[in-house]
Amino acid sequence: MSSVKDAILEEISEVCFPNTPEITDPDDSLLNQGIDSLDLATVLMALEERFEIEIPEDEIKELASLNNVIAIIEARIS
Amino acid sequence: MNPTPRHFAFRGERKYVHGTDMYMDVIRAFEEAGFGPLKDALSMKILHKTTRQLDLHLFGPGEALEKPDGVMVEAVTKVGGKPVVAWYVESDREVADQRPYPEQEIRSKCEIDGARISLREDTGFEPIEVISSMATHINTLNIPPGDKKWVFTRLDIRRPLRAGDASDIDIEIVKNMNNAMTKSSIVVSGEALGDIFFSLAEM
Repeated sequence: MSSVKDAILEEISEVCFPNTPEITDPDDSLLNQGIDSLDLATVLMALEERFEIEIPEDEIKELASLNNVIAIIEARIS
Repeated sequence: MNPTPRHFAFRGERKYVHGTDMYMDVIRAFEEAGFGPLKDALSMKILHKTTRQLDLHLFGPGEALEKPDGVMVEAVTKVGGKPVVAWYVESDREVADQRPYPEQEIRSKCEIDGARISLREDTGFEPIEVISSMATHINTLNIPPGDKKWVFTRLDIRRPLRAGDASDIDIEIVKNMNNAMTKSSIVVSGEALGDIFFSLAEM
């Protein structure tokens, strides 16, 4: 498991507690897997701080899945 | 646990239940249920604007969590290392009462420096009232909401607020996500207490 993926799942777990969703499909929208929009925005903010990156608005609109988030973060920290 | 009807009043000119009242109610509910005094971190999320009275579904430490449908507000803390959860669901009961909320009495005593707002005196308001009002003000000044409004949607604090927390406060916007959601740090008497989140919403 990549460290970025670990970090995302850790933030999801912390932000969504006690309703931590199980992300069963990394290509499906996180919003379809038990994360509400407020939690998603909070997770993204936490990830921006954690990785010291900015996620532009147009990419946020594209953020749908765990794999999308991993790709966006990895592109910025590599 | 069976849902318990709670009683809220609107604040000022608002026609929705205010986050400050939800915070104070959930602390009261936890204590009424024998879980207080609370010491651990607390998180509260306001998921939807609420215009009617709320019913409270409360789950104590060790209880199996059964999240009801239609949760409007959620608050979570821990007691003895185990989660304690409050879920509020909108009822069909109307909110009949309205009470004043003269926030200007707080804001007029604050100092503003860019994205930071500070207060160094007691205004007579509850800590959550002061924090919410200050945070709303600094968000509105820094990121004008147009025809929308900045609303309190999430609070993450390392411990519940105490009576003495209302008179020495610094709040600073530390994250702005596309002018749609912000995160502000809360520092009370030099102690980093946590964060308050605001979202831009149509009211």
